[in-house]
Amino acid sequence: MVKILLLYISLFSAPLLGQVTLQKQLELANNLFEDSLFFDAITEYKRLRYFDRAKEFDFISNFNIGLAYKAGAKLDDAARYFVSADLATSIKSEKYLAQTELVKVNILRKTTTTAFKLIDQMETSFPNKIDELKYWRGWVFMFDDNWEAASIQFSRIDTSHSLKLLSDRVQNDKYSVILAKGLSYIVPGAGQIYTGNYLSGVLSLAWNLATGYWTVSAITDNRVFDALMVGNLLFLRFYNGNVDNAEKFAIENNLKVSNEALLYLQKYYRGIKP
Amino acid sequence: MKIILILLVLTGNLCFAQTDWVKWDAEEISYTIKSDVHQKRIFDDKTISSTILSAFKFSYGYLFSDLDGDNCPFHPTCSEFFIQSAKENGLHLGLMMFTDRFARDTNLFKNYSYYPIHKSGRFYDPSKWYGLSGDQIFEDEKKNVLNFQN
Amino acid sequence: MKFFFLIFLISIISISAQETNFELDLFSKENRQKFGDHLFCKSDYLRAIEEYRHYLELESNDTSAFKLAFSYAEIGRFNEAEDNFKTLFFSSEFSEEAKYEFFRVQFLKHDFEKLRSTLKLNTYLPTKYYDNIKKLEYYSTLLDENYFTDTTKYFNLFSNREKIEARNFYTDTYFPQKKDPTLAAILSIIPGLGKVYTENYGDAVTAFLYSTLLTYAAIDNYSAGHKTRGIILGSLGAAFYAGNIYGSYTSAQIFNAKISLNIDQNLVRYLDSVNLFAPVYDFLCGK
Repeated sequence: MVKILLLYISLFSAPLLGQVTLQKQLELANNLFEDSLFFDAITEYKRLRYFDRAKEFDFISNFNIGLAYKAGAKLDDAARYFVSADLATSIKSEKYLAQTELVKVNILRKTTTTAFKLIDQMETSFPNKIDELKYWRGWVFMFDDNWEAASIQFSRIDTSHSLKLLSDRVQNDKYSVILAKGLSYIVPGAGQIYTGNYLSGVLSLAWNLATGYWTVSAITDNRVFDALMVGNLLFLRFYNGNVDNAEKFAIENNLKVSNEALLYLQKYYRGIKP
Repeated sequence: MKIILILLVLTGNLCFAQTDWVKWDAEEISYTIKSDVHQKRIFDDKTISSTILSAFKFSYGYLFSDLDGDNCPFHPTCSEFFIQSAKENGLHLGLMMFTDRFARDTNLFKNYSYYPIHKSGRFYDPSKWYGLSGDQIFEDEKKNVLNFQN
Repeated sequence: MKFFFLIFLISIISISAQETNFELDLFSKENRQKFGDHLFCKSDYLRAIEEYRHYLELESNDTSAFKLAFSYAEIGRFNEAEDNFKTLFFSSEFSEEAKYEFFRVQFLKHDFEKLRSTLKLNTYLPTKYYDNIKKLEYYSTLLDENYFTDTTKYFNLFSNREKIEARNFYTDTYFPQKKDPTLAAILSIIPGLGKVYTENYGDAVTAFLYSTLLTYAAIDNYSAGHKTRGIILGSLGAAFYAGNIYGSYTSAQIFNAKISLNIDQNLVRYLDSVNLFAPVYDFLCGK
């Protein structure tokens, strides 16, 4: 009778033993992950997922596969697995984790529209996480190159939030594209000088004055053909080019300012990052 | 939420499988925004023989081309095209290739479907197509087409 | 009675235990194979290769060996695919399929010459898929620039619908509607006419305008006493005139190159749509 009972117990614990195997498999995958062997870690998480018929490790394996892809900068694949992780669980805290990672991946791959939509939906599902969501919304604005809105977002968390101050600085360092263009419309080269490109501004002004003079002198000499050629092919070309350049310099400079801030965030910012 | 998730799953699926066909390592994700502003001047000439051409390119670029706006819809730009064709085929042929290119550049009735799009977003029109090489013209493109894996 | 009840209970539990999760060694050869098959069907070929390689070290299995070779082919590692298909040529369940795939790999490698020369050795001919392989051979001749054959003998292999495609590709490849570059250059004696011939009408108008307007401006300036200006404009006009003759010649060449590129593009698209006439293999997750 005792023997029968022992047999009974050993068989009863069979699923438990399976559980132990899977737990060990999870540890193996986690170790590979910690050793930064992300490709191999994914293989082992996939193996875990495949043999986990009861789907007890479905969330953790999908979630960690997502993290591993993210570590390899494979953001589309990461997003796919965070979605799977979200669908694999009904526990609210786990859902929050998966959806936050999904937002972060969308920030990183600069699909900001999707990121905004996801945050909108998360705000209704997780009303107690409003501050965290504000924080991520601010990040989306920064990656969307909308530093003014980012500043407003971060100031809602804390009026002296370090990211608010950064956003303000970026906003101040930027040139107005419309002003640069407008200046160059009125005085050729002025927009370039406003954006700090002095030599280009002076050269532009010189070309415009010279070609303008040639055009006018051709008109006064009654050389209609020359006037048309010089006016159209040279003067208008340089005049329009001058406006285009003022705009281009402003945009280039603004991009440089944004990228400097983003690079700072990537390399040196110590807070929570996407 | 569901719709977005389903959309994400579907669109994610398209590019999924091939990611792992070659083993990869950890990689840092860049935060910065890529610039699509076209750089007009490229100084890549090192040899003395190309100094004159470089000087032309520099002065043309700095005094003229950089100031008259973004007129060239092509990659490479007209001045780069001239330098390349003169290097590859000599000054005489290079000049003819350049005037032909200049005429095509300023053509107001451009048939845009005629040119393939370069990754810079401009129309791809390299000097090598105009070097009288006949059937070799699209050699690289052909190889690319024949590669069924693409 | 109690004893029998216990036996009954044990048997129920043991069945349910097996069904749930009673697989202690996830790296056993059977599990390697199962997991490999799963990865294979998800197109996760590189990982599948690893599983199959471990599995095949411990046991020989034609299906897995075929899938291993197939995985290599799918991820573009053609030489390894070739070697692995070769091992299945003789005394294997899938020797015919392996032979066919071997030739498909040659096709993907663009090694058309090897494809044809190996096909001539009857030992490698997959007789079961004779028609398919001959169709592939036919198209290899079209893609091979240095090869011209009497392809009409192949046409009977194709179904009626396929025959139309086969004939069209044949005419397109061997009798393309090309333009003569020399004629284009000669026509350009009248500025722009050569470009009209090569169907670049906008360029033709521009070339005509440059040559004529610059010449007119040169004469106008010269006769008005502006000699230097006249000479400069005259040389510019001459440069544009010569450039247009040269440009017409090259535009005919580009026109022709584009036609042949287009034919190849259509051909590749078509061959892709028929999956290089590969048979449907039931043993590969319905592929």
